[in-house]
Amino acid sequence: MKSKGKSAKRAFSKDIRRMSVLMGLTATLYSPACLYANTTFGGINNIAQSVSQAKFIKGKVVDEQGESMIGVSIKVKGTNMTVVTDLDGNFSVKAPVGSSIELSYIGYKNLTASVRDENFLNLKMEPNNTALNEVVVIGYGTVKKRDLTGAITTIKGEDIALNPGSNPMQALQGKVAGLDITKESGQAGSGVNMQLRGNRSFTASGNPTFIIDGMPGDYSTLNPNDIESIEVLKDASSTAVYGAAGANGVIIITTKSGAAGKTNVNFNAFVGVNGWSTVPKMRSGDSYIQTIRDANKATGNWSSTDDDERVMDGLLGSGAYAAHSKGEYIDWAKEVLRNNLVQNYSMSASGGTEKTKAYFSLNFSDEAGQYKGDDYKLYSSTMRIDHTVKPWLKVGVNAQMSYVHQNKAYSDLQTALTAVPLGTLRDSSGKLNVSPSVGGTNINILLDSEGGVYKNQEQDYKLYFNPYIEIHPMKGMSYISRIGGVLTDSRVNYFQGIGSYQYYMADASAVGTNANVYASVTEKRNLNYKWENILTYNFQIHKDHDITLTAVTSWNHDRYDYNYMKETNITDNSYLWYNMGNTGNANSTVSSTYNMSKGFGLVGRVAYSYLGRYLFSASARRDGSSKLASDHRWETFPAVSLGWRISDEKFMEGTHNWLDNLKLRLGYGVTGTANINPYSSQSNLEQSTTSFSGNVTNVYNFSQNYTNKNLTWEKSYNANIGVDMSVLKGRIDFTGDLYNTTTKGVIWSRQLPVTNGAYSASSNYITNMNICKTKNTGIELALNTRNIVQRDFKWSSTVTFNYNKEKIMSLIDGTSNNIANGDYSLSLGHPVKSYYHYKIDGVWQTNEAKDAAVFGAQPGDLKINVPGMVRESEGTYSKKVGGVETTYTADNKYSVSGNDYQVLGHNSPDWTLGFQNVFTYKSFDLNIFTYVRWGQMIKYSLLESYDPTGKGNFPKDFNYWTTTNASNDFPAINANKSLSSYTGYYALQYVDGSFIKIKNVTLGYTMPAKLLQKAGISKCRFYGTITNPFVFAKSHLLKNYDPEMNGNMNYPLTKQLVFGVNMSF
Amino acid sequence: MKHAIYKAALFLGAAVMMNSCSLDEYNPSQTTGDETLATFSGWKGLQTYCYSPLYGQLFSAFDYMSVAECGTDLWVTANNKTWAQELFYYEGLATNTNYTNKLFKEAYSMINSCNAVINRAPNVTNGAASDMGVLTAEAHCLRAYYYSILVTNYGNVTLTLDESSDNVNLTPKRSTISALYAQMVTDLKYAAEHLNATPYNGDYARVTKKTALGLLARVYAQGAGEGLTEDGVSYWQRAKEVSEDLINNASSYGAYLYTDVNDVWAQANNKSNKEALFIAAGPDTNDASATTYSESNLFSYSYPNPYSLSDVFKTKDSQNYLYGRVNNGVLAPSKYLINCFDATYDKRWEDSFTTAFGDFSYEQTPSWGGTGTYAKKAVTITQAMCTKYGIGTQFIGQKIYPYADFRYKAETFSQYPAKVWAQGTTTADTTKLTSVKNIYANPYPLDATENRFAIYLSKDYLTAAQKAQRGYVCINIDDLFDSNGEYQSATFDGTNSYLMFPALNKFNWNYDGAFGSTLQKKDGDVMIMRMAEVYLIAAEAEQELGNGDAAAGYLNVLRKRAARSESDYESHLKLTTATEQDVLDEYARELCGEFNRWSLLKRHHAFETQLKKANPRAAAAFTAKNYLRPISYDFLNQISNASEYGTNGY
Repeated sequence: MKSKGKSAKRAFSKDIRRMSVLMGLTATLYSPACLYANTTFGGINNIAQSVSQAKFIKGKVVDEQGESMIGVSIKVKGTNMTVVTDLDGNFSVKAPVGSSIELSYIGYKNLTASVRDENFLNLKMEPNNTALNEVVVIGYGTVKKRDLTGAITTIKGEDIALNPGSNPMQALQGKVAGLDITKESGQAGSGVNMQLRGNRSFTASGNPTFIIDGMPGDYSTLNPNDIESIEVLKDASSTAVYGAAGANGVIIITTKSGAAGKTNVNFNAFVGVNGWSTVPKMRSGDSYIQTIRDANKATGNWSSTDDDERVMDGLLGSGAYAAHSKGEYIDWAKEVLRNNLVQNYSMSASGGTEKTKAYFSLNFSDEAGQYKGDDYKLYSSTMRIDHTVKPWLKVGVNAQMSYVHQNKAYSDLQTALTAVPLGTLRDSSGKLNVSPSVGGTNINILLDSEGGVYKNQEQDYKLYFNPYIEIHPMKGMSYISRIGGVLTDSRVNYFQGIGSYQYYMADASAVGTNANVYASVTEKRNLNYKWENILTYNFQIHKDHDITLTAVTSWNHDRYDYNYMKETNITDNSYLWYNMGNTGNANSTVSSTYNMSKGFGLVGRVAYSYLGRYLFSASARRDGSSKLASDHRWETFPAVSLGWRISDEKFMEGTHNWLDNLKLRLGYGVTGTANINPYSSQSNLEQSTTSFSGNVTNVYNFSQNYTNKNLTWEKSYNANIGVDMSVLKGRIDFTGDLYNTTTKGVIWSRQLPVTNGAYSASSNYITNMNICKTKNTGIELALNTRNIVQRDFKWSSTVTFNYNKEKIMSLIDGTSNNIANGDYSLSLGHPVKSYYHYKIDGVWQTNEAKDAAVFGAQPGDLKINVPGMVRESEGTYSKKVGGVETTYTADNKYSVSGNDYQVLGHNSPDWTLGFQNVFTYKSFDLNIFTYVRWGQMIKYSLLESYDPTGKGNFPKDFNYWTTTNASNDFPAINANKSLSSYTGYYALQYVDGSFIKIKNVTLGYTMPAKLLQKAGISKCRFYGTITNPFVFAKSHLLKNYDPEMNGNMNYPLTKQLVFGVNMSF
Repeated sequence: MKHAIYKAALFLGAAVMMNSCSLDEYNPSQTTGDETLATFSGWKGLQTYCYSPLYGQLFSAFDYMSVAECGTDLWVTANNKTWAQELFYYEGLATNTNYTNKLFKEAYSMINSCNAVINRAPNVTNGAASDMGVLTAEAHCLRAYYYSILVTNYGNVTLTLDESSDNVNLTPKRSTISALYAQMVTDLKYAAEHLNATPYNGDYARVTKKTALGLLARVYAQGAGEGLTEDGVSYWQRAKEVSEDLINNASSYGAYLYTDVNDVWAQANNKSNKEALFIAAGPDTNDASATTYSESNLFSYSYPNPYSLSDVFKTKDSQNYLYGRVNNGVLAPSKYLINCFDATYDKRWEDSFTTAFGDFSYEQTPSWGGTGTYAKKAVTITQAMCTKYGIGTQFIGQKIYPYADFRYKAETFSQYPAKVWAQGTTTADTTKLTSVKNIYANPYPLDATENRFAIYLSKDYLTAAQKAQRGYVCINIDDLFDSNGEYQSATFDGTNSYLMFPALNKFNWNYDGAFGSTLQKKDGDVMIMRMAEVYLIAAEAEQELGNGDAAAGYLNVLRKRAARSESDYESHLKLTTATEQDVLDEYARELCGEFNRWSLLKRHHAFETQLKKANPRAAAAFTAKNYLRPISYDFLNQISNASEYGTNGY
């Protein structure tokens, strides 16, 4: 930890020259130690000297236990005067008699006291235990938490800001029970994968719908510091109002808005270092040659070290042994990966008058990846203005703008790691060798990082512009009409030049320009708008009956266009993509496409509450979409929910001393989702060219997509039972949900049987059909406890747990099974992302030779589990197929085939657990977050890099079989065998990816408020965070590998060490 | 206040109004099918597309080749590898075997489009009757061809003559063998009647009258193996009639048989080969866009990597502009196939197999710098080499010089046509370079004084003393095999020589226009059917009909043109009568590797006998069900009646 901090500093100071002016400011703040070392805690009683012309009052604030409270804000109403209490809970402030002061402290109810003619006020604050009056944002409205009937999790902005990062969703990992979030790549700017309550769809993305301030927005470029709260709507009774977009849950982000009064300025920054990936240690030096010895020993080609030179030179070409002796090994991970800088600055200002409120923020985020030339820069700004024109009329606009500039490095780390490690990276003049390995044909991946031969650059502009008008025509009624305009433009500039990795990959001895030297520009634009009208009417009947009616219309029109141009045979690397079109038509490619879709939705909802004890809500949404054929364009999505606040019942009165709240929630609803592309209901003819008789000829062919005029949304039928409970004055807060979601009409992009023809010789016609069914059942638990609450020391914990069981109930026509779906298999009775391949039971051992022979195998080969195969006796097996039993022996061998594949596991976890502990001691806070993801299988392709000849490299600790080492991990090492000659080798990649990790640890220090007051600073906190400090993987095969990467290797996940500051003025 | 309510209501009302009329799509980037297909250019475009699987997949990738040739008496895996063992050896052949699944898809892929072309022809308003007639007949011919692949391999599959369009059939029913054959015969007869002797528009890849007749003979022969008859006449008789017609009236059909077998495989004759009846034409690499179309990597499966003996052969496979990047080397001839050739008299040995491997220089391409000069490419024989390979020590210090020299053609940057250095040359005089008919057909037998080849696989057994008389590495082909008749899987002489095997060179091309953008792909034409096969079918049918003498007559035509001399033919190759074995052997000599062996053994029910003598590993696993290929697992998963359709016993 300490040494890492040091190297972080070193890396930091090295890069400081490149940094912005803002950086300079933070650099001063960067060393918290020196700042507070000069500060004393004494002399903090004289804070109110500037107040005049009023009575000077003093007071003391204590908490419910009588302990004095530090840092309580005391505001004199109607002025800008604010003070805070000192270490002993004392304060003094000048305030006019008859005025009032307001006390506020996080976690406590606000307290108002009037200033009378007395000199000392003894004030006691009550904890805001249950937070039941908090407002929760729901679809098209808000509701008090106590009246909530759906399964909704709220995350406050402060909790998001606690986890520094450029992407706010990262901070939610493990915090929302039922929302599975993973980050697989350490590439700069890479996002997260999300899946709520298990996979329901085969082709549609599992991403939830994001609504930012009521309209679609982009969370990935949203400044986390601008977020007021995030609500995750999980069950269908909550999300059915979003109709066809609701099945994967809805995440509603509310951004901060201005407030009347003093202008608040917040400044947040962090800088740190990104790096220290754990990468498997590859063989090198002794371990490299030892494997080659073992491999040749197995074939009788090696008997002692005298044979080293002959064997090694024979394998790799002459000079190999000499290179080995000189220790000429390349450590690719070290050569390629380095620690790099990450920094983020954001500033916001908010304020306003009673009539006009405004919020404005600027954000700059800069993340450099571990590869040279891999970086991500985000510039974003949010603006929000609300203006009250008349008491019944409000108008406003809010806008989110961002620009991303990203350079992506080419990465093929796995190929480099698995290449022959023996060689020299550079020649004597320091120039990179094209083929660095001795006798190897691999190309140097570093080529792309030097000399401007490769560039992959992305530039994205996004503008979200949402004006609204809000009318309150009568008491309890509001009407909002708003438009959400989206304009995005994404441009990818790509260049691979002469001398690039790709250039030499195609032909290691290439000279001059050729077709592998090219530039391309891809531009994608979206122009979408959505117009929504929301009418809400809330009224009471006889005081006990509270009714809220909501009606919504929602219209959207999305347009997308795509332009692409490419030019090959570029003659000069300096042209990049800026000089296209000058090498002749034959080298140019252009293409463009366009698509559009429209949708319309109508929502009606009634919410009814009797005495606040019995709650009922029902809604229906009718959705129409242009993507569907006109007969199936419209679909209805209903929902109903009930809530019962049991703790309000008379018979529960006896429990009031310990039970604060007990509520039972029941919900049922129907939601939709679909990966339906525009024009799915149209059938078309494509024009293309083919080579015919050696000439290029125009041809026509039917487009691949065969129309299905019956296609419609997948529909999820979700039932949810939830319990909310709060006991011991909010010391323990519990929420539990049980859910069951059946998704019918799951769309499968069905490949048409080829007897109907095919799109081409290699691709079937496809048609989307609603023909499958999935089911997800699960349990979600969230437990918040305040374990220790003392004046100086507090400890609170949050545990979230989710267990989900996912099952495919039926596939095409109910008869198909084990259909390949990318890397996964769709298998009946198993989760959507299941792996289907040979099940490996280890390696045949020497004493099992007779058994192995039955399968045509010998000791050292992979032992494949054959379903239904029974071992009768040594060397005799039998298997029953269709009632007929066949006996297999060495003379009547059993040939293992694809028919013996089995479902091995699934990529979605069985359960996940997040465990957060926050300790506060005086001004220090410590936050430790642990995350567990269990039961998932990953496909880790490095396991398939095992090379039995010993030539290709693989991790040092791969335990391979030899006659003297009865390993069950990898088959026999043998110089004459390739890995692919072992039947079943491909399945070596599938491994249990369960892991426990400490996701982050944050240590913060908040400067004493009294001290800051002089500088006009109301809050200042310094912190240091380390991300991913510890990972434990269940499988021993995942040594030095972070399983959250889900089998990928090319952009290893990084550890991050950052130091930051949160300041408010 | 009230005003505002009205306003609100108005907004809502307006929004509701919007839906009814405007949820329509606008799609400017595609056209609808019916209109375009009613025009001649659109319809012809679809018709041309019906050819796309030929070079697109079937004859440029290993899938069909592995199904059509492997699992027979001709081929085994190099080093007895367990690689594509499902096809080579029937080991684990199952419904999800990739090769058979892909072939099923490839062969079926265009039948629907053929149906659309045939059935939509009457809707085309602006096509000339003559054009329409010929192009429709082509579609009939292609449809029959695609069905012939399916029926041969998968048995009684689904027969569809309608375009599926809106009526997708998800419960396809199986047809019968006889109905399928009857349809193929009908289609081919129709095609033969309506096609011309010359290709439409001069596009030589288009089928012509001779194609239809050749395929008809083939279909009759294959159907004869199923015991089929037509109007009471056996299919063998029909096969005989059609093939004899094609032979006897060859010139009127534009059919041709080279008088010298070397000309069949001459590089100059690869494009638009005169002997071809049906061609899968590769793209012309002189056109820069060629590389965007399918190119062939068949050669990479049938060549060993001479760089395995890297001390004598210095060029890596990834830089080999002569042989190409031969990184898949698996398809190796069985001992039976090698022994079929009496190389002393039969030129087809070297026309089929490269057995001498030499390096190349690039003196003709000085711009490529100095590394590829003739002098630098020469390898000096050392003491170590002599010890290792048994080369006589008298050769120490002598050099093995390059065999070929290529020219990099800057205009299209992907051509490397090569010429040959004369034997005995030791200096680089490019004016002395000569062109040979086929650069991959090495001289046979290789002269003891050769200085251009580094590795020689000798068909005639050389003793150690004989080897020592030669200044290059000699490997006896017999030594490559173990006692089971399988290739050695480990070194038998302490060297990597066990990794070598005779290389089928029929799909390796080196001429201007054949090389693609990478060393892994070449663009030569493949003959789907050629005239020699018609002679073989004629012989086969005559033999089956009991006329061994007549059969011998047809075989002799092929044997005569293959003989090294007239006298060799008369005294060693001429047959007087032919047995079934003679027919099978002649097929092996003439057509090995040309996508027909499996179907031949099938129609002769000869797997059991032939595999036993030639491919013991396959013989051990072969069972009666293997007379049909497994029905594709993917396909079975796509249909609603999988269990009814069945797997063909897998």
